[in-house]
Amino acid sequence: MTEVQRSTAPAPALLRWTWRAYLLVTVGGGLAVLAVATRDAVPLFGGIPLLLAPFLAGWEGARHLSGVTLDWQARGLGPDVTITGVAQGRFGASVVDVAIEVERPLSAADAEPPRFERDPASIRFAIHWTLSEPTITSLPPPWIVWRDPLSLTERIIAGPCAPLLLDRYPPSLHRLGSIRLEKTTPLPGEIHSRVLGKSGEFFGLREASQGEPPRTINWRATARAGRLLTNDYRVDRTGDLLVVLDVRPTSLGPEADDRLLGVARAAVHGIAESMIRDKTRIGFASFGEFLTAVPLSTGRAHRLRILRAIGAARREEVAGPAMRCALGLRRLYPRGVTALVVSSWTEDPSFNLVPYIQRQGFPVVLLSPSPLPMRARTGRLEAADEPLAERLERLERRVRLSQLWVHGPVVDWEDFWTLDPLSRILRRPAYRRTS
Amino acid sequence: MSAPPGSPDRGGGLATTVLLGSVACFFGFLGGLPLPFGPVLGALGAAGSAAWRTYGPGRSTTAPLVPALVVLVVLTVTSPAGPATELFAGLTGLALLLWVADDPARPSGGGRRAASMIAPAALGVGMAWAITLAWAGRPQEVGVAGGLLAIALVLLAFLVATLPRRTPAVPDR
Repeated sequence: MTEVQRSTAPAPALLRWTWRAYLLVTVGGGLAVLAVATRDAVPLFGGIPLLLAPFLAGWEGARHLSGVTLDWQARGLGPDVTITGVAQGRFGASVVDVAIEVERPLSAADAEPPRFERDPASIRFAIHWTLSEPTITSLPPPWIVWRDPLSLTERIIAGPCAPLLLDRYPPSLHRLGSIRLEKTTPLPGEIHSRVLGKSGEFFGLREASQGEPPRTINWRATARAGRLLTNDYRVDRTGDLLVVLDVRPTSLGPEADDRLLGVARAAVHGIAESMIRDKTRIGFASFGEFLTAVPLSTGRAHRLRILRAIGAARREEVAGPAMRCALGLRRLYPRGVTALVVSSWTEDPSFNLVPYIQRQGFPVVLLSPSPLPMRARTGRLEAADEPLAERLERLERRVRLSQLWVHGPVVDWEDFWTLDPLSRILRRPAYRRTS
Repeated sequence: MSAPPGSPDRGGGLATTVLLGSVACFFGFLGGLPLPFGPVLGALGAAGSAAWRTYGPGRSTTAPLVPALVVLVVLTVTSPAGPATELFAGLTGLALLLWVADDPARPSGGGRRAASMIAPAALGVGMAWAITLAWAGRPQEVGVAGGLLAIALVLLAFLVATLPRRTPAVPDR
């Protein structure tokens, strides 16, 4: 996946003195004052270079460098990330004193040292990271900083411009869209007609959108309902999917919650991308204290809407009651839509959204990112005890998740770079039938 | 053969550390401290700064300067006034700047690229020393006056040099 961003730097920022410059000026100034006070010239001679150097460095910086144009992009698949870019400007001989600093996401580690190729007019850079888990994040543009050779002054010559979207999710999600989801259950009053419309067999009624051609409006139903309704056809329809993201706080703590939520957001993003690519209608809801929802739809505009909603989903400080989530979903989405609930399930059963959502008429599939890979090898235990502790934690988690199987199939997601178990469950709808 | 510009300096700034240590040693030798202590203190200052920069904790680039600066302050405060001590005080300050420019964490050739900053500072030291030698009067007071005058002259010269130049107005046809 490749995304390219182009940004032009604003006017060069003001010069900034470093702590080293303040130290030199302080010592040099102190020596000069001492010399004048004691009428002894030796301290003053020692202080002359220290006093002059920061001002000379400032003048050196003030007459250097103009605005810089930056092109950068992210490449790679799965855990491999390669950030490449080129900064163009009139650097001249001071190109070696220009540093490019890219903020590294928390889940990334350097795969190899960054490479820079410099010439007087441009700096090319390539940075290789390996991600420890799926990630969706917005990389702020690199800071392009000029520092004088004495490191007394620095000047940012390209500030915050367009950020770069970095989204990495399990590669198996790229094929998820080819899975034909089970059709949504008929709405009350919905009939299966043998009359084929221009797009296939009649599927149901839906609210007419703006600019809908008059021929598609179902005028009888409109007269009955008192609002514009239009026919919906079955052809190409693969069933709808509703993704519910649990952003309530858990007992794991804010740090682990944020990491798990980051993994869950990346997975939701991958699922949404894949489904929308195959024209499946998808809805997204996040539940913390209250429910935030994006209605069922598909298309490019909806993709952006969902992406924005996923990006805005953050861990909330207060947990709302599960019943509130279920009632909200019932009000906003038609019954029968397959609901994929993404939650870490570390709490007691009353914390679980699943039974409540299921009781409102949504067949549920559960996806649970496991905290165990993140908690393993934290160094709190000795090497000999680590496998035993991992095994006990895994058993405890398995017992907890087993209680949820009565409501729907559960995917215990431990290997973050594959979601094949979820694909298998979605591909075999028999598993999704609830008793 | 020196490393190409832009690559980290693998030499670790050894040459400039030796230069700083030598100048500080000789300054300590001329200074007012008893004979073994002055040179030893000068050498310790340079060695301490170099060791801190190479093996010190963290990524601070400012802290390694502290040992050398402390030694410079101690030596200048304890030195008697005189042309030789004044000259070597200035040379020790210049050697310290050169050592700062030769940072192994930065691209090699820092000393060469910092010439536009170190040379005017050296000019200031040279002017102050020349004034001290040339003008009659009590050496201490002439030295202080010469040093302040040199600082003022160098700053004024650079202020004038960096003033924006007025472009000639083109008559409107």
